[in-house]
Amino acid sequence: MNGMQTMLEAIRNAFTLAGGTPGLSALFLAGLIALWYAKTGQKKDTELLFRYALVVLLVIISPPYLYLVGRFFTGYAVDSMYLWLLPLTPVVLKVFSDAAGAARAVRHRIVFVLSAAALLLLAGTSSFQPESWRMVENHYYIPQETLTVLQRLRQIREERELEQMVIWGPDQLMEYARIYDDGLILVYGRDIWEGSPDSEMHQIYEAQEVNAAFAMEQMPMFLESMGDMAEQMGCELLILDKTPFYEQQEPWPRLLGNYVLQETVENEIIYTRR
Amino acid sequence: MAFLLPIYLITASYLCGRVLQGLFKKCKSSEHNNVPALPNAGETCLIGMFALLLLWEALVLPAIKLLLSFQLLTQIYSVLLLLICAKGAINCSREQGKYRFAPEQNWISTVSVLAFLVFVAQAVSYIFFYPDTNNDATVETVITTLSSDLIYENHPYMGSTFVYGITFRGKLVTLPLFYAYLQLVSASRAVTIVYRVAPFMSLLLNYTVYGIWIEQFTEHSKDRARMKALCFLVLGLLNLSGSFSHDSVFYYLIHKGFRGETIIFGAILPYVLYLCFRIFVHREYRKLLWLVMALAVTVPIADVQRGLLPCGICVVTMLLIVLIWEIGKKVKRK
Repeated sequence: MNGMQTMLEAIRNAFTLAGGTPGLSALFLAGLIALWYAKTGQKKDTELLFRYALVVLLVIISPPYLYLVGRFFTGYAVDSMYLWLLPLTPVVLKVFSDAAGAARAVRHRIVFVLSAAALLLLAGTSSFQPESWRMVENHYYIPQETLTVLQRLRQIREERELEQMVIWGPDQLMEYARIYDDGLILVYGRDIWEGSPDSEMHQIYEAQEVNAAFAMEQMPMFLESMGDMAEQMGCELLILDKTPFYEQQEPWPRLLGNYVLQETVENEIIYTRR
Repeated sequence: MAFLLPIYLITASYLCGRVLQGLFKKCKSSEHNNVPALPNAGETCLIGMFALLLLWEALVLPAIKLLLSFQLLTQIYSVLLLLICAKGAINCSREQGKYRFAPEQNWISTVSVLAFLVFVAQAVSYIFFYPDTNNDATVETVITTLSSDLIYENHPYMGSTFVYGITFRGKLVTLPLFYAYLQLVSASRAVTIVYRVAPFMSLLLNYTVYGIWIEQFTEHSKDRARMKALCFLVLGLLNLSGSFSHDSVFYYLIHKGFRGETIIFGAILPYVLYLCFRIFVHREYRKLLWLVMALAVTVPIADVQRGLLPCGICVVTMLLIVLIWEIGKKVKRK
């Protein structure tokens, strides 16, 4: 009974993912029914589109398929890109074009266009969501505060006449460092804190880099040893975030191993190797 | 300069497509008074774009093996592209008057203006909003390739040499290098190419492929221009209102347009499906070549698991359906 419930839940999840919102799922199903109705008109294209959409949908929500993918191809299930095989757009386009063809009078057409637009906008989820839409602050696509710090880092590199300069800093800074200045070399990549190491790039990190990433994340705990770690990794600059110091109401140190405080820019503290 | 890139790419792919269509002439085209109609410009561009990417892949892979510099690679590619474009231009001028050019009548209407505005809303979003860059190293790859002048030798996130190197499967994906080539020829910023030009091109490809679908859907329609405009409006609204999941193709089109998966699922997969219809239903077996090209071009665009495999599944499913259908018909007749 429990297994049955789990499988039903898996089918429901697969269908939700495939259709997206209940509204779009309903639109897709309605489209399939419309295609099935149209296929009786002996249109070969419509018939094949209907058959393909139906077969893919039935395969995707079938218990054996879900069992196999869940058990043996977990990576593929996580991607959920197999769901994109569903011809949602062609089905919706076909149905709308056929339905529009039926509207003859001008006022019918106006009503049709307005209701089609309203249906699509209400059935789906708008891309214009506040959390996913942030205005670009500059043409580097880097948050302005981070850009100011990066501009200073580039200045330091140029003052020292270095072609390349190894730096170690907070994630927010490291994320954009190479987009702004290709002369900045980082001690580890963004994939380490995004949780996707050893992807297509096949970079396998050594324990030293993994420890460094962890130390930067838990900076106050590892503060004393960070200077030594940076030196071992050959960093020219060590950059720390001010926030933990503010939170603990403690001043930031002037010396960290072999690194001395150079300056503070925005929310970052820059230490340089002696 | 970066904003001229779409024009450059469209022209190059159109000319390249004309060369390919010229090589494999006698494709079925609708005839009117014995004058064949001009081949669908969208499809020509699409085929040309596939050819451009496949040519790029064919040059990059040996270049990686031979440790050639990226500069040299782009020079060779540019020369080849120039030759192909010249051949395409000659073909076009020779074939002038051979084809019937029948532009759509009365295509300006309220619906077409609305459809255009929805398209502009999508295109403008690439300029004003941050893209989704989670688990993506495209910009870093472009910058690292250009600064080191080496191909896949340095880690894009770190800038230092790879410790364990990149896998062969990873090296097959050469789309970021193509963006690097575009940056080199346009002398603009990597972010402009990747976050603005590339998504715009993906959107254009998406509209091109569905344009071919719409052409088929509205084949027998009386008010064809208006119907087409309506379909494009629906397509645009679907793109804008389909961001229900971060894994949906509509979300990718708007927020991750520069990713290979966007081109695969937004353009190549629907085109593969369309080709299957033409080949299996309309028996246009010459289109098999375009199908093979469409499947091959998935390799340089995205990882095999996210490109070739889904497209392969699509073709196999269609093939099985048609086979069962034909067998069913024969059994019925008996």
